[in-house]
Amino acid sequence: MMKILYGMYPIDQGEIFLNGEKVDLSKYNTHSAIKHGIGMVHQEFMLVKEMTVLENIILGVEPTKRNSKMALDFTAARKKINHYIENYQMNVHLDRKVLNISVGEMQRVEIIKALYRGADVLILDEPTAVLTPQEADKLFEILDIMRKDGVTIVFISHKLKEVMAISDRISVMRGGKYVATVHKSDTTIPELAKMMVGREVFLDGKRSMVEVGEPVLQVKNVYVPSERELSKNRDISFMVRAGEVLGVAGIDGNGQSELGEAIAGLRPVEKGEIILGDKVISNKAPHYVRDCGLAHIPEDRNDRGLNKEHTVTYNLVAAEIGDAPFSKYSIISEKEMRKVSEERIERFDIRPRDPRNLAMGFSGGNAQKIVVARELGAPGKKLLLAAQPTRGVDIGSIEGIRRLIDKAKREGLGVLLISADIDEILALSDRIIVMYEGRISGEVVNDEYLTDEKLGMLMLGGEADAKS
Amino acid sequence: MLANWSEILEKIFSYTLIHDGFVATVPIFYACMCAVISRQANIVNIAAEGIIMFGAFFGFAASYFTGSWICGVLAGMLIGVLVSWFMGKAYLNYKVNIFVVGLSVNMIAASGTRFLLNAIFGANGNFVSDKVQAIAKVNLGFLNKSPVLSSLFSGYAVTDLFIIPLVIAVWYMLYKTVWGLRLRSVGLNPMASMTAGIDVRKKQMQALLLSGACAGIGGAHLSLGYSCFFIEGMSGGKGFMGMAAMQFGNANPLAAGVGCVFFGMSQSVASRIAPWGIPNQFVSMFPYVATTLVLAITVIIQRMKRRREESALVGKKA
Repeated sequence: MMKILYGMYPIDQGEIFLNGEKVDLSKYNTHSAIKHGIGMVHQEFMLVKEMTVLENIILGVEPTKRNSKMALDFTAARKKINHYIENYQMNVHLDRKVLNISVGEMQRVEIIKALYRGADVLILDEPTAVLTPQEADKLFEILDIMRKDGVTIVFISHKLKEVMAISDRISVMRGGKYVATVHKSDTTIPELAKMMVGREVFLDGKRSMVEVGEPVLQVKNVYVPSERELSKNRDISFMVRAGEVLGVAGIDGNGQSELGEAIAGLRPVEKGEIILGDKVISNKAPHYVRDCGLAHIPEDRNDRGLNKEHTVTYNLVAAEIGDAPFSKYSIISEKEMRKVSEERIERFDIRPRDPRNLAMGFSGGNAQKIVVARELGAPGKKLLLAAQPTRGVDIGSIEGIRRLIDKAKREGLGVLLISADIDEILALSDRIIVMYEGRISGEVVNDEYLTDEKLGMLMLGGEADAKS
Repeated sequence: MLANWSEILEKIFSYTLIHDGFVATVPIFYACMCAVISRQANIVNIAAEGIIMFGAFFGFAASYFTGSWICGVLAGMLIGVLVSWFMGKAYLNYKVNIFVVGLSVNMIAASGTRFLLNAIFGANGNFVSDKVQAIAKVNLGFLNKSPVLSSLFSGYAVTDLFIIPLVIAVWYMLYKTVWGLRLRSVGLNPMASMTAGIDVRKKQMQALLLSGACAGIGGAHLSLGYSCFFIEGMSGGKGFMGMAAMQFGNANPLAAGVGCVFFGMSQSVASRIAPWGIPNQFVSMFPYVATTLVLAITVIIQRMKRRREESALVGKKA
C-alpha cells in the first residue's frame, strides 16, 4: 500500500489527500510523490551499491554549479547533508561506497536521502528488521527528534512491541484490507495481534524440549569467500546435534548468508571442512548435499526458494523429481507428483489448495509454506537449514512456520536457524551462536539468564560478560 | 639474415606507425563510445557494427548528392540516431530482447546497404565516385620541414581529430554531470533510480540515441575520412572490436580507449607485415586473434582479482 502512496504502483480507484488538499492522481508517480514531500525508506534499500553515499543521497535532485545546468556541485551537496547529519546525530561516511558500509548506516543514508528531498512525510517499511536492539533504539531516538521537528512518520512493522513503543496512532491491516485505527493508549499488544490475524495468536509459544542426540552437522575451522569484507567467514566452527535448534544470530551482512550458502553447497569453502552425518559436504554440488540429508529453506524465497513460473505441484516435488516414484527411466509421472503434492498441501496447510496454481500468485506466507513443505515433506532428512524462514511473511504464517521448525526438531532433525530477527532466534533456539564481521563472537545457551541486551552486545562484536 | 630481420622490424616499427595506428584506431573508437554509453545504462548494444554500416552508406550517399562532407557526416549521425530510436522503441516499449534487436540491425545493415548500393548507384559490392567529397584533412603546413613532426601531427581528417574531444566529453558527461550520474545509476540499479524519481526508460533511450550518434559518425568517417569509397561489409568487425575494448576498459571511456589503441595498432602492424611473405589470411586474422587474446587475458585477470578480493584467507582480518 505504501508503494502506491509513493507512486511506484498505479492507483485503480480512490483519492489521496495531503495537507488537506486533494492530490491529482491521473499523473501520479514517484516523482510527484517526492514533490509532495513524501519520502520512503524501503525494506530493501534502494541504493546503488557501486556508488558513494554522497552520490546516492543527491541522486535525482543533484545540485549544480552556478551558471551551469549540468556540472555537479559536490561541495554544496556536502554542506546541505552535513546539516542533517548534525541535526539528527546520524553517523554516515559520505565518501564510502555503499557496498562497504553497514546495514544500519545504509538505513541512515536512506533517511537522509528522504530528508534531502524535503520530505515532511517519512514512510519506514519494516525498518528494524535488519537492526540490533541497540541500533533500533538509536533509530527510535532519531525518529523522535524528527517527530518533534514536525515530520510525519508512517512506521510499518509487524513487530508489535515497536509499534507500541513509537506510535501515537496505530492502523491495522489484514490481507490487503483496512481493519481499524486505534490510539496507542487505548490498546494492548495481544489486542493488536488479534486484530491483525483475526484470531488469538501465540507467538511466544514454548519451544519443546527434546533429548539431543548425535551431531548431525559439524563445521570445522571453515573459511568462506564473499564479495563484502565483513561477510567473509573466518575460522568458523560449531556443531548441530540431532533434536536441537542452533540459532545463528547477527546483524544482516555479517557472514550468516555466506555460511548458509557454504553449507548448502552454493558457495565454495576455501579452508576447513563441513560434515553432514558422516559425509564431507564442503565444496560438493548442492544436489549431493541434499542427498546427504539437507533440507534447505533458502534466504531468498523468490530467487532460490521457488520457481515462480511453475505450478505448486512442480515446486513441491522439485527436489525429488529425478527419483522414483516421480520419474522412471527419465519419464515424469504426473500422477505420482499430483498425489504427493496434494498430500503436502494438506499437511502443510498451503492456501489456496489447488496444486495447479502458479507459485507466482501466492502471498509471502503461503509461498514460504510451499518451500517448507518441499523441504520437510521429503523423507530422509537429517538437518534443516532455515535461513530467514519468516522474512516478509504475515504474522499468522510466522506462527505456523515456527511450529513446523519446532516439530522438525521433535522428529529428530538437527536445525540450523539463521535469522536476523532476535525474537525468532529466542523463540526457537536451544543454543545460539552470534556472528560478527564473519566470525563467531559468542555462543550462549538460550535460558532464562539470556537477555536481549546481551545478545545485542554480541551482535555488535562485544564480549559476552560471562558464559551462561 | 639477422640484418634482414632488424631491417624488417625497423620498417614496421618506424615513427609513421603512430600516424597509421591512430588512423586505424579512430573507427574502433567511435564504435567503442557507442558501446560504452549503452553499457553504462546497462544495455548490451551489439548493433554498433550495423549502425556503422548504415552510417558509412548514408554518409557516403549524402556526400555524393550534396557534394559536402559535412552533410555526409550529419547524415551518418542522423541515421545512427534513427536506427537507435527504432531499437529503443523495440527494446524499451515492446520488450523485445536487445540481442535479437541488435542482431537484426546488424543483418539488415549488411544486406540492406548492399541492396541500396545497387538500387541507387547501380553498383555491385563497391562504389567510388568523383562526386563524393571526402572529409577535409587538417594539414599543418609549417610542420612540413620535418617529416617526423608532420607525420605525427599533420594530415588527419577532421573526424580523426574529433574523436579526442568526443572521448573526453563522454568521460566528463558520465562522471561529472547530473546527466551522467543519473545514467550510471540507471545502469547499476534501476529500482533505486526509479525511487529517486528518475525516468529509467527515458534515460536508457537517451543513452541509446547518443550511442547511435557516435556509431553513425564513425560509419560516415569510415567511408569518407578513413577511405573515400563504399564497399560492402566495410565495417569489418570494427563494431565488435569497439565492444571488446569497452569490455576491456570496464565501460570507462578512458580505459576502454587503451583497448581501442591496442586494436588499432595491431591492425596497422598487421598490414605492415603483409608484404614480407606472410600469407594474407594470417595478416587479416591478426587483429581478431589479438582481440580474443586481450579479452581472454582481461577476463582471467579480472577473475583472479575478484577471487583474491573475495577470499577469506587474505585481508587485514585473516
